[in-house]
Amino acid sequence: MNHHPYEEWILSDETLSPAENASVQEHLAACPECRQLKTRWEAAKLQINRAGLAAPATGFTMRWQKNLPDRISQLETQSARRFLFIILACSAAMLAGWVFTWLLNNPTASIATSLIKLTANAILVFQGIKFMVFPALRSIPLVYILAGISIAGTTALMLSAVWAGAIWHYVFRKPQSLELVKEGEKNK
Amino acid sequence: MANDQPEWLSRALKGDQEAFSLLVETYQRPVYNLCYRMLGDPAEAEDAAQDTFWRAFQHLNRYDPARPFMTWLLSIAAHFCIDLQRKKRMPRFSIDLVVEEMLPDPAPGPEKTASQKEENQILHAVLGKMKPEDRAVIVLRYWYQMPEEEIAQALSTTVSSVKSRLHRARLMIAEQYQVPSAMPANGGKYYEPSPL
Ligand SMILES: [Zn+2]
Repeated sequence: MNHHPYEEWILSDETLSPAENASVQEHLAACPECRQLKTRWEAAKLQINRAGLAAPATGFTMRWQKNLPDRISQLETQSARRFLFIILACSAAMLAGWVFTWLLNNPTASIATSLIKLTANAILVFQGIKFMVFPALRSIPLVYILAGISIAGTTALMLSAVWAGAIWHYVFRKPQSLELVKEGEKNK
Repeated sequence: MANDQPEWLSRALKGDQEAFSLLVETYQRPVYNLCYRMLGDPAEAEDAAQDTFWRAFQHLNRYDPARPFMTWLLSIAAHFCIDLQRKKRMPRFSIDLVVEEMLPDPAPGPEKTASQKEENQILHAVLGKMKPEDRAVIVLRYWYQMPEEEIAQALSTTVSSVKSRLHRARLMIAEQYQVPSAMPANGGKYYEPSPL
């Protein structure tokens, strides 16, 4: 027997038109499978109504309040670490840029070799800092971490000022290249 | 909702911890129920409900006051439970753990509880066989009477996807839900023509 569209109609939440309703009733009278479908579906809906909203064990809000300080301090530690990492990464990038600019100013030496050596050294230094800082971070009080962050931040600001000056010097003498840089950023 | 929300709700939405506790108190039951119907285990549901409130607390700035607050909470809970079950792949839906921990009903018949438990187990056994996405749709539709549009919004999907999930899930329930022995099984009132 073809149960279409009766199956859909039996399970639908929408009110059927009188004609549809009559046609379903006619089909139900002849089709045991659809009768069973309807019985089970209605019994399940009834059960859902009876089950209602399950409630948590008593003291749910107290447990929430008890755990909240821990959750907040965990979140703060996480974001402090992320912030420190960003500062370090930015400082590394700025230092690299600064060294590069300095090398451009002193083209007498073999630029390529000095550049490679300096870059390698810088990476090693910053990796060293990272590996020293992160394990230590867990045992250092928050005040020291914040002090460290502000020192790092100030250093980063100074470095960026120097770097920005150098970039200004090189880039703004050729406005066309700046336009190209801007275009490239737009296309990203 | 934005106009008639109580003063503590506005404070809670600004991150006031004390006011947010009131909010947890108010919405604990609907949030817990969703997690419980999704996960099938009271202990996991407790953790998921607590995590739901934590997520909400962290992202209060993303709440759109034009929408009902409960819908937003339920949306977070549903996403959270679906993710949880996708990660685990194997649903830990265990029917033996379904000990109804419902609050004392105002008028519970003494004979009601035993058969209620049995019926709940049958219901959860069927829910447990569904895909988490289908289960979420069924729970939001039939426990919270959410319209299809609101379900689609809550689950970040389209209305047509909600419709097809609903149909698939309804069909599964209708095919697999075993009518408990206490209910009329054959030729009872359920077979009588009733207005649909
Ligand atoms: Zn049929």
